[in-house]
Amino acid sequence: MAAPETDQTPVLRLEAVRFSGLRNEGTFDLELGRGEIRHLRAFAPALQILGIVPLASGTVSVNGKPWEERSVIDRERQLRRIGTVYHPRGPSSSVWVGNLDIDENVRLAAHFDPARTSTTLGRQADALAKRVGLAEGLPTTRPAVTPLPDQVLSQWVRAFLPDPLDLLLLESPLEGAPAESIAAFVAEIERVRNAGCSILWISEAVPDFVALGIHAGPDHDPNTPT
Amino acid sequence: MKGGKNEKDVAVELGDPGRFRLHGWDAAFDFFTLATECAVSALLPRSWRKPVRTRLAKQILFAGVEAVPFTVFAGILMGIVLTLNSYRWLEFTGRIDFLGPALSILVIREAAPAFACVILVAASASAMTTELATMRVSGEIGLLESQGINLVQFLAMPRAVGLAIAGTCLALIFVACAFVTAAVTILLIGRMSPGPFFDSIFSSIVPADFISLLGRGTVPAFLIGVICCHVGVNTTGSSTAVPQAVTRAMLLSVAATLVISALFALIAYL
Repeated sequence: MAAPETDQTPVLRLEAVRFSGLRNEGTFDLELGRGEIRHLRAFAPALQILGIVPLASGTVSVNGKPWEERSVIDRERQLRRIGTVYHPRGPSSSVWVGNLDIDENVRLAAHFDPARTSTTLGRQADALAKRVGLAEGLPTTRPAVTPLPDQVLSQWVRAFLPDPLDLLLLESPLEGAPAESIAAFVAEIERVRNAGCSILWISEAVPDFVALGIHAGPDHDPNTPT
Repeated sequence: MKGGKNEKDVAVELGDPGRFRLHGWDAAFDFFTLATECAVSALLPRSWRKPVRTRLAKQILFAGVEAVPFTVFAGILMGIVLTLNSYRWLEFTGRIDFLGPALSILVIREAAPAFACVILVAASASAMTTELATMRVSGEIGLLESQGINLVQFLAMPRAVGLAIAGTCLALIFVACAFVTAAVTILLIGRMSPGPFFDSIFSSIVPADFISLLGRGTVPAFLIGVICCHVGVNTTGSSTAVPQAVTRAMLLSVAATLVISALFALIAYL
């Protein structure tokens, strides 16, 4: 039964979750409050956390409600408030829709937000793109012919574009990223955290939040499988 | 639109002999739900977000505009064939004054909507199913779902509506080409002038003909779009499942066209 959403309700809760996939072992329990950042040691489970691919076991709740208890419209509305950077070599997910240009891919989901016009959206996407290091704006090429660093930066833009943004799922977000853009990425993370967005950093290696300049709480240590 | 694999999907991948059938009542119910959802969604202005409008425009371009040359070609050839055959038999029976009405029945009621749908199935159904099935097996459908994008609204509805518009337009183009060719053919034979010929056609057309032409151009084309989306998005397994999905979608599309044609004939003329 879903708990009523309050300020104390965790944005993301994993209860006895076991992810499917050969490289994912163990059971995860995790609660992520507003504005918090945590690390999850796993390999590309974003689609499972988002309720698209079935979990091996356990329950994922977002804003106090498991995916199974949501209607289609409610689920889609919640998913549009979650930004995701997908692992470039994840097991079950494409990072881009192949027959759309990168800029179309980035803006696609936001176009379905009734509160935003195409003009506003284009302006916001361009501003974000320039902030993270895409000086000429979002690439207008197909994913297959776009260089990997530009794809990584474009993924960042897509992840930060939802408004409001409840949750960010970052699967190895720095893999393939240009070093000079990392500071801008961290700045964006801090900006959205200050606005109340929670962040789950997912990777097999433990990220050094201190070295990156990310202000994590004292309990940010990797949520290792139990 | 479900992505899960069940026993029937596995049977399809393994080449079960029943693979050309719509799999049972569950799949039939799923299909009719999708068709209804597409139709309702098309009527809601808020469904027509920018990517949906873009997809619709592309669909009309691919399925309609690019098929115009072949439709003109088919219309001209069918105009010649039908005119010569009808002329010969009506002259033999001494009722050459029935040439216009006979051609209007053959072209408007039968040939135009049937050819429009055949052209759509041949040119667009396979491409659409391949595209969506490939998107499913490569994980792109999951990517869209994970971003909260409604698959019916973004993938199915603009394709089905685009095919419906294209199907209707192609049927009308076919009619125009067939009648102009028929007039030229009659002129060349030298037994009847085009004026009286067209007069006899227009005087023989009844409202049921318009209903039949538009209905049989629009409804089967819409259903072809829904079938291709349904089969394509529900493809499971690896890329080897894609060709089987395409074959299934094309056969189901032809079957839907025939069933709808029969239903319209019953409704319009009985």
